[in-house]
Amino acid sequence: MRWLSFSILLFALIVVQVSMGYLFGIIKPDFLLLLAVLLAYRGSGPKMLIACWILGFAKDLTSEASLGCYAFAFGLIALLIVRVRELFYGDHPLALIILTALCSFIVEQMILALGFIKGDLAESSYATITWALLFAALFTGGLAPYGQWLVMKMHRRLGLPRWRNYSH
Amino acid sequence: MMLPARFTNGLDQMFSRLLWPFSKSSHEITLAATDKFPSQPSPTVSFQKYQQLENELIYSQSQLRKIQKINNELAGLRRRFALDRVDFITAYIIGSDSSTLHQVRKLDQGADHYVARGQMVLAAVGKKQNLSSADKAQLAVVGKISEVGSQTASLQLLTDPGFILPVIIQPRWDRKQNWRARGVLQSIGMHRIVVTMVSTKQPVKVGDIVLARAGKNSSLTTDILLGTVRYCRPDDRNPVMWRIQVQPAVDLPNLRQVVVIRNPKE
Repeated sequence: MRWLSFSILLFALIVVQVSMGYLFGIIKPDFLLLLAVLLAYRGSGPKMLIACWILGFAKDLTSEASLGCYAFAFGLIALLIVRVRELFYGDHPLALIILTALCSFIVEQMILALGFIKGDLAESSYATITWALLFAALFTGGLAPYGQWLVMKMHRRLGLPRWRNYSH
Repeated sequence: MMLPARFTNGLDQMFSRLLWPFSKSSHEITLAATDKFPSQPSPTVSFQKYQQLENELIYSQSQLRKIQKINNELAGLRRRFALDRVDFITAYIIGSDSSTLHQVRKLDQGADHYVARGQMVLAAVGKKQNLSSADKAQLAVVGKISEVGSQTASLQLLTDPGFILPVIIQPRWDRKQNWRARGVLQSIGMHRIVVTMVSTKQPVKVGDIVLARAGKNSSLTTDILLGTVRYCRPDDRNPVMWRIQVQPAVDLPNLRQVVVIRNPKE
């Protein structure tokens, strides 16, 4: 992982997420999670896990969630992807779409559960919020092939391998 | 009964002519006794009289328009005086929360501009988002300040899942009823906001007005419009209470400019 390039990309993604996110309405994509999934899917080694944690931490700093929630969730998701990525062979976009949508939904469900535990959210709102999160996860998943194309264009600058890594 | 119609019609006319003087005089006597005797209508009206009546009609119509205009101005007077006692901090939306879960917007004004946590935020009613042309009486609540930095602040919208606000429901003006019901507004996600804790004894109907309640712990000095009742039905869990869905008065997805209410007493 090349940290300078990663930092620039992270900064650009935060700007896009924060300044343009509300233009999408209720169902807005999560660009930070998309990058975390792609890094975990293609990268290797502990540096990649640290990069995912940093992405989560950046999301913590730019959201109303308690500090550390997203960092922890992104770290767990990166570990999960490293474990299951060998089940997906090749670079088929559908696999990436499903994996990204699933990870987005799991992360937001974790944050939602934390909100209910803390008492910030009403229990009666669980169903409708979950529907919104599901659609947002599908939207994020739909952007995965485009994200992958962008990451592959920048793989040398980011220090990622050209081909997928199937080892843990 | 068996006679042709022309004979019976003739008899009828004959009797009516015989009885007409008596019936006319009795009718006039009755009107004179009850002071309702009309003046004799003239077959023609003079041109001067016609002009005079037409001028009076035009004058009356202009007076009516003037009074209607004054009435419209007075309709928002109570709120305007209440809002004159507070300071307005105009702010633009520069971003949003990066989380998918929360409906929070970033404002370009912060603690340096006297924005503080808990202050209520208003915006122009309807699709019109230009606050400079909007009257104070045309503002509605869109949320409150949740976090404050030195240069920026976070606006928690009505549709944020964690948003809670005490509200009042009152009948729409054309229902000609006089009651007010207190309730609690909260968001349930997907841009849906509901009011709970309102008894079904209150005759709430679709179209009734929902107001944000002024109080000691609020920066509001008067109750301010928040939205209207979209539909109401008894709560499934507690059938003696309404579950009221609210339509916000402001177009929240396209919100660009807002005003933060600052009470000088704070």
